Amino acid sequence: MSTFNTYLRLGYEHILNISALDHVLFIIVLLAVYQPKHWLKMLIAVSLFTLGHSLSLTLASVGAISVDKKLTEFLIPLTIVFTAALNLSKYGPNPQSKGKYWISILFGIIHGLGFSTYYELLVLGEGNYWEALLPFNLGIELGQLIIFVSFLVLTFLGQTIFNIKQRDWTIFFSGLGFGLALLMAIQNIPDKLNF
Amino acid sequence: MRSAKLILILLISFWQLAYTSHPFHASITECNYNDETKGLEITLRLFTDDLSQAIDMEISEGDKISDDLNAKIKEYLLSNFSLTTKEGQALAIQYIGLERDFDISFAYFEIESFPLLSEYQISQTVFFDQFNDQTNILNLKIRKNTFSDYFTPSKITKTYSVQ
Repeated sequence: MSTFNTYLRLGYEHILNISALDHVLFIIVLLAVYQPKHWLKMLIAVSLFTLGHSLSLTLASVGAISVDKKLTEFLIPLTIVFTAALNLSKYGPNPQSKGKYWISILFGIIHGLGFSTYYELLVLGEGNYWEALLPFNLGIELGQLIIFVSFLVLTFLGQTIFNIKQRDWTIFFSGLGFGLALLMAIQNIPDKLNF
Repeated sequence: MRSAKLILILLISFWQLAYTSHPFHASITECNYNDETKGLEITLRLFTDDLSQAIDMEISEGDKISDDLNAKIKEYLLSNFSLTTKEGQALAIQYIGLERDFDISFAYFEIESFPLLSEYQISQTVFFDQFNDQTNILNLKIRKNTFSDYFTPSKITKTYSVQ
């Protein structure tokens, strides 16, 4: 295997790893308001999420921002809780709403901070941007693309083949995301905030 | 209501998962042959908290590491990393020291007068006892030969043919 492939694999395995459930969950909740015909909107939303965390990764890797690891691990599940709750609000489920795009970028930035520790592992010491960071990033994108395509297929199966109503579909995945993410958030409450 | 019940069932089954959720575990090992010193320089890049857990000791900041701590680190890492010849003879690895940079720790090793052979076998099992999702990346560079590999609990040794 080449160094490139090794880090590419590390990137997508990080996204698809069951213990890194938070990123998968966020994407699912983000896409839960759409119907198969909205695939382009879904793709835009996922791409903006990618743009968001690429932005924070870049800032973190040049040392422009540094964030408390524990705080990030608490904030990431909260982004899912918030997005899921919004899906159930009056305006959230509307697939035409542009608000989703803003959420994608903003929360993408927060999710990107969660990767910054791995960035340190990859670039500190003899680490090299092109050799490690670039393929690792591409691997993350590849992993997200796999999640996007899988969820699009699932949406098609659920809504078109099994005739599940869009509203039920949204409620189901938002509820799932809300519950799981809330558990993660509670588990990750930073000591400073603990009463 | 039907979906509410389904969600509840899924939540209960995922409860454990949510509680064990932690970002993935990884480390990077760099092995470079130095043509001038004729030695193989080995650096292990590890997450400090993982190493601390493995040896059950706090790791102090910077390069001021106590003898006791150094001994523990050396013992743990050398029992989880080895480089052997085709005949199965382990090459002696010297522990140079550890340097901590906050979340990341660097452990330095060297194999002095490294024999240039046609084949080596490397075993890398650092943190496999602790985490079943541990991934250890290994980059090996001996003159013009470069290798990059993935060690996981299901793949702990690997053979390299060198020209």
